[in-house]
Amino acid sequence: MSAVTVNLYDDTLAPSEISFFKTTLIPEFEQEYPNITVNLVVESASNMVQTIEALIQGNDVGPSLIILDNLVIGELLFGNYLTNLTPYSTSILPSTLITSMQSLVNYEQKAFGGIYFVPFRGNIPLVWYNKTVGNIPLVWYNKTVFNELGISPPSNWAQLLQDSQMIYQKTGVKPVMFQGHGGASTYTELYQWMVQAGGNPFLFNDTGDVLAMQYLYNLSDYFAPNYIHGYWGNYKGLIRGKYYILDYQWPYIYSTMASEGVNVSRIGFYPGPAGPKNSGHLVGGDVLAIPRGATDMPALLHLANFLLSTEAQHQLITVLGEPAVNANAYANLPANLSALYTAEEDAFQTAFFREPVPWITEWGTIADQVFTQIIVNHAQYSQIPAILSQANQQMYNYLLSNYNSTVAQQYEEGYYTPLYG
Amino acid sequence: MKSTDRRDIPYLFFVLPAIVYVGYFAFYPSFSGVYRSFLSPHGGFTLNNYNELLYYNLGAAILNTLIVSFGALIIQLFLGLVVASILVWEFRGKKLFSTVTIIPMGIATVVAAIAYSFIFEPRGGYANTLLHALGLGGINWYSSTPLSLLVVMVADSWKNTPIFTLILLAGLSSIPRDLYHAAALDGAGVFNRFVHVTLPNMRKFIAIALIIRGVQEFNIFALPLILIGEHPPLLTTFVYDLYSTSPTVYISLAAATILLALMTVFIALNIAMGGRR
Amino acid sequence: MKKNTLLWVGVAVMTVYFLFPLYVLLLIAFNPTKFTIEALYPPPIFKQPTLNNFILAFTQYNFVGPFLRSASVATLVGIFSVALGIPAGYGLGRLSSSLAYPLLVLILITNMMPGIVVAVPISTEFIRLHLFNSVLGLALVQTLVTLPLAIFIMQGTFSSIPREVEYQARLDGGRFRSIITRILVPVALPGIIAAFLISWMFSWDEFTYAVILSPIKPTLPVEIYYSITRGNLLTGVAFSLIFTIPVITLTVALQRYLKGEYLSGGVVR
Repeated sequence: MSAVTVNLYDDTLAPSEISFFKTTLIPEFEQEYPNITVNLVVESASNMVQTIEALIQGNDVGPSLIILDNLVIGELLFGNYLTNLTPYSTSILPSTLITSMQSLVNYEQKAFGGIYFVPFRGNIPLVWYNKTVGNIPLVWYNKTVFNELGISPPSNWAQLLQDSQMIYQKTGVKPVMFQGHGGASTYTELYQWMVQAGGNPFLFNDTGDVLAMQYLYNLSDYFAPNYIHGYWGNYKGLIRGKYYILDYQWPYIYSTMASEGVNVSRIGFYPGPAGPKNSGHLVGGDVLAIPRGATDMPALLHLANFLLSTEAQHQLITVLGEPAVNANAYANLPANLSALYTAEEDAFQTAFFREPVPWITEWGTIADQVFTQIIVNHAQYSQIPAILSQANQQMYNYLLSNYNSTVAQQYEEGYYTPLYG
Repeated sequence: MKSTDRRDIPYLFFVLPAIVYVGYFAFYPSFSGVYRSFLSPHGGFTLNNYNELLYYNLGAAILNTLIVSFGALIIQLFLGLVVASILVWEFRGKKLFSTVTIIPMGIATVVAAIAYSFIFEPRGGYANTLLHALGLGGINWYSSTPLSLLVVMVADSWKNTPIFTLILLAGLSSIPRDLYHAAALDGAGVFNRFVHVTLPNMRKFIAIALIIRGVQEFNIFALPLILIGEHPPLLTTFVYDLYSTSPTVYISLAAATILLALMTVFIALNIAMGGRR
Repeated sequence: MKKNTLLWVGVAVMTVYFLFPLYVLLLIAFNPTKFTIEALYPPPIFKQPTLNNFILAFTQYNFVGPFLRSASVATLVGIFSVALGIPAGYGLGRLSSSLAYPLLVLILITNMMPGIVVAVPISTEFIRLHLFNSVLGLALVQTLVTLPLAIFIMQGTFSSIPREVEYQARLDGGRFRSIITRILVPVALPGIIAAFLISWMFSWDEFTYAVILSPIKPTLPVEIYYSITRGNLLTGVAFSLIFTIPVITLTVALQRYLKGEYLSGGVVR
């Protein structure tokens, strides 16, 4: 095989992740395959979509492999921008793929008539809480007090609300941090809350959805004031004692915190309170795919196979703190991480995926608007169902004018549901 | 006097490159953006994109933009007048003070936004420290829309007062001292002199400053993005929010068109009112 | 005298007003975190200042990349602004006012176009032209921000050179080109340098176009913004301070050119 430079596109990596890729992971691969050089290109998910589409339209794809968020891939999928990977699946997929991930791949065969993307990094957001808080001025709350109050991490929604109330009364601090900034982090959170209440989040106004929003409305009385700026990067407040419970944050922050010298033994995590209907857990993370028209398939397949191999996936866990999709990667984990991954594995048992429809970011934008109206602007409690119905109408109209009446009708009938692994 | 001298023609050629550049990089994208805002993803003409904007609370974005723009202008005008009035005099340390007054111009908008985000925080922060020291309670500066907008206005005014100052100073310096002496001889006090001598002669300068800064006010983006994010929305952050999350860019183009329309109205009003040059 | 005290009170108040945010940044940069971001009511004085925050910021995060990128973009912007601004300023300075005026208004209007209205369509165009996320592409667009001021400065500079100088030189047998190089440019040089430096400075500060057109390999302001949104407040502040040094220096040095006449588009003369 002649010398090839593969462009590996990855979405929004943090600096520590980029440096890990460039200094460790990629050189490992390049050593194994001296004829292949890997050029890492980091772009935000939506920008990557634009770039790939432009490359394909300009017939300029070349040897390219993409790692993209499992939601955003829907746009490329439905725009027919991906290569069908079914003929290559045996050479890419490890035999030890986690069961729920395998289900996703099987689902693809059924729904799309072929495999177009494979899971690469699975991610289930966990709830993070501060076990001990000490030496922080003005907010004094430690494990002893925690025990005195008889609080252990709330195991269901009712308890979460109760505990939050109690903490607020005793300490004057509103303890819950929510991803309230708007954008992807907010609507990702909302999706999971709605599913746990038994709702189909896409619809906005079925019983489960309404229940979830009503609950969050009540819980929002105990949101830390800074929640409107809450975004995925905002875990630091937990350490600083600005709030005590961080509802739902991806596990990668564990390693990030450790690498910044934080005393992580004070931080506790667990899969989170069970919802009234189920304790389903949303799986996020990235998938691997090959754009249509990519060249030098053998090189791309080698790289894909490497990224999914036990060695590489093991390092994803130990170095980056990201859950692997290869089950063997979980063997021989260092002690401090294994607790984290037990929690993740637990959560994986009841995992579900958001269906990668191409209009999901439109749904997300509407969900943001719903969140702003109900929670941030604190609408009247009695208006919650009406607001949600309006959102449903908005989504329906959007599908009607941008797709066709069949899609809109299917949407209204609840055809697009969370996928259970 | 309708003289387009033949001698003018070669000079026009000199200006041509700049005109072409501006045409391609400013006017063409803007017109293309406006045009596309009326298209649907399937290519036909539609008003749907604008319709969608209503759902996303376009009205609030417009209102907030107007409030912030006018509020900030008023603050800057006032402060600019104060500083310019000081700089008209000679005093010890004037050079140093004059340098201090343009320092905000040298601080990047992003940096200013960050500084203010530490001053005004939902809980705590430096502003609340000062309030606390005075025995008052802390304020959650982002707890309501008016407060959040106020924070943006204050931060923006800080950064942009120097421009007002400089323009107004040029104006103040151009008023002949004799006018003041004459007015003083007529018995006018400080306030009267200000109203009857200073302001009328400054009218042109104030107008210019208001137009230039006013238009830029509609445009502020980095500051609100960092300070208040997208709650409450201003037109610029609104456009950006739609651009970065919507699969179709058309909706954000529709919002951008509305922003452009608003600005055009503002400019037209100003030209009509400030008119004679 | 009452007037004097009023003056000094004004000076004192305005000085505090203008310097306070800068002071806050210095506090956060040099105070240990427990007195700044970890404190609910951070003390407004220096307490046990340390260099630790800077060390953490610069060793853990990439400063040099965005710094160099900002510098290259800014330099290109300075060059473009001057390249377009000199002929335009010269032409406008010599044109009869009935022609010059509408052109000036046109350029002024350009300055007024919201960055975001222009950036969104341009970004899709740039992807096609392979200019997306490139130094050249960003520099081309940022020049929009700096060009009007550069043109006004150049116009002001050239206007102050009497036409007679040119006529005389031509009468003395000089060719057009040598007139430009030997007479106009040297006289206009201070203005040219000022236009270059001011354009450089504006580009250095520029955020809107940078965040939309070059999001992946960011310039320094965008990098600072990313640090803040990722929760790395200290990094953002540390970078901000270093980032501000060239600009403040330039602002102070170029005070002379930041005159009201130029900022108002030469209309005020």
